[in-house]
Amino acid sequence: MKKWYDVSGPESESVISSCVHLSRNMRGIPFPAGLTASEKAAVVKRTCRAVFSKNSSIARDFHFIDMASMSLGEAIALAERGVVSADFIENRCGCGLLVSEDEAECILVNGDDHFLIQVRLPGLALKESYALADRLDTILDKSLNFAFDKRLGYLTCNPALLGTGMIVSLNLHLPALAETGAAARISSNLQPLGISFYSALSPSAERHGAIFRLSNRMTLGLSENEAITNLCGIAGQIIAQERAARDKLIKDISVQDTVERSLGILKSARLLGFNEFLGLASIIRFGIAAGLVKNISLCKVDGLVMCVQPANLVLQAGYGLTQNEERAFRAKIVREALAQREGNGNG
Amino acid sequence: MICQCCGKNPASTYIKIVSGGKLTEYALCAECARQFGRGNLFAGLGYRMNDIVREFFNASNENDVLCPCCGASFSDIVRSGKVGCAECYHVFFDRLLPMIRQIHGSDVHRGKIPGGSLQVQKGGKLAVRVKDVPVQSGDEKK
Repeated sequence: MKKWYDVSGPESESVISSCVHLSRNMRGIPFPAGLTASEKAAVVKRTCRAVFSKNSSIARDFHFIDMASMSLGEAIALAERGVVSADFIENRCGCGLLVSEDEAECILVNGDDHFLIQVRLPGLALKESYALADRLDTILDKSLNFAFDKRLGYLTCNPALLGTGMIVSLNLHLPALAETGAAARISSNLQPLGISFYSALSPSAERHGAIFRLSNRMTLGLSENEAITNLCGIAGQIIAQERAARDKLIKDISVQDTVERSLGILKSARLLGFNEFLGLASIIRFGIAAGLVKNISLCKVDGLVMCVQPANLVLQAGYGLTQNEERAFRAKIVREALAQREGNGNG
Repeated sequence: MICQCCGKNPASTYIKIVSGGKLTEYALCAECARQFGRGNLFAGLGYRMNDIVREFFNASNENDVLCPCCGASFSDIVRSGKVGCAECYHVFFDRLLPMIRQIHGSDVHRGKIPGGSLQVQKGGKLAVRVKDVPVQSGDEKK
C-alpha cells in the first residue's frame, strides 16, 4: 500500500503536508511521566481494547507496535518519516503506537499525554485531516472517557495545549521566499498572532531544503474550526507571496540553468549526501512546479525525501552502512527513481 | 551555551531531535522554545517560586497541598512546567488560572465538547483577522 506521501495533494507546489495533532488524557490516573511501567502497560492495553474490540469501526485501520520492542534505528526511521517525535522515541519503554498502513493516521500512547491522535495528509488538506482526527477522537472517547473540563476544555500535561488540545500544522516548501530572505520576516510578523513559522528540518539540513512549518500556538479561546480557518488564511497569503517570488525567479536564465544542472546531478551522481540531496531535491521541486522539469511528479520527489533519510536507508539495506555506502545507496535509489518515466509531470 | 536556533540568547531548554540518522540534543533559548511549543511556560511568564509564594500563598500550610491523584504540589508544577494529572487542574484551579490566561489570552474553551463530532464548515468566521498579515518582503511593502 502506498504511504500518504506517495500520493499528490491539493496545492502541492507549495504545501507538502497538512497535520493535525490532538492531545488527550484519561481521568483518574497521573499523566504518563508519573506512571509506573505496569500502569503504562495498562493504558496501552485499554487503548488496544478500544481500537481492536469486536464492535470497533477502526479495528482494521490500525496495527499496534510496542515501541520498547523496536531497535533505536527502527524508531529513528519512524521519526524521520514524521510518524513519531524524537521525544517519543527517547523514552519509548511503556509507549505504544497504533498506526495505519499508509502512516497517515497514528495514535501515540504514553508520550507527554496519554494519547496523541495524529493525522497527516499530502498537500493543503487541514480540514480533511481534522475530520479524520475528529472521528478517531470521538470513537476513542467513548471507551477511554477523555479528561475534559467545561471551562478549560481538554486537560493536558502541557498547559499550552489546554482547550482544544489541537495543534494544526502545514509543511510548506518555500524556495523562492527562502532565497529572497523573506522567511525570517514572515516568522516575526506571525508571532504576535499566535502562529509559529520555523524551519521544519533539523539544524544541519535547514538551509538546504527550504521546508517550513506553519502552526497554531493558541488552543484555548479558539474553536478547532477557527484555528484551522486562520491557519489556512495565513497559508494562502504565504503561498501567494511564494508564487509571485517564483514567477520572478524562473525568468532568470541562471535559475533555469541551476534547475537543469541539479536534475543532471541527481540523475547521474554515484555518491549523494543527504543534505546535498535535499538541496537538489528542493531545486527540482521548484522546477517541476514551474513546468521546467517534465515527467517527474512532486510526490515522487517528496517520497524520495522520506525514504533516503539516513535511518530509513539503513532499514532498507537491512544492515549498518558506512558513510560512503550510505551515500552510494542513496544515489542509486534516486537515480533509479528518476529514470522511471511518469505520465503526468505535475501530479 | 548559545541558542542553536536564533544564535543570540543563552540556551535554557534542551530538546531531542533526529538529525543525520541519530537522536541528538538541541539547545534553545526560552523565546525559541516557546516558538516550538517547548520549555517551561511558567518560567517564560516570569514566575519565580518566591513570587508565586508571595502572590498566591497567604497561609503557609497551602504550600503543603498535594493533588490526591498524582501527589504533585503546586511548586512541582511551576518547577517542571508540566501538570501532573487532570485532577491537578481542579485542585490548583485558582492558582493556575492566572497563568493559563497569560499563556492563552483566554480561559474559556470554545471548541469541541466530548460526545459530539465537530465538523469543519467551509468559510467559517475568523476569530483573528488575518487579511492584512504582513507576510510580504520588506521591498514589496514600500
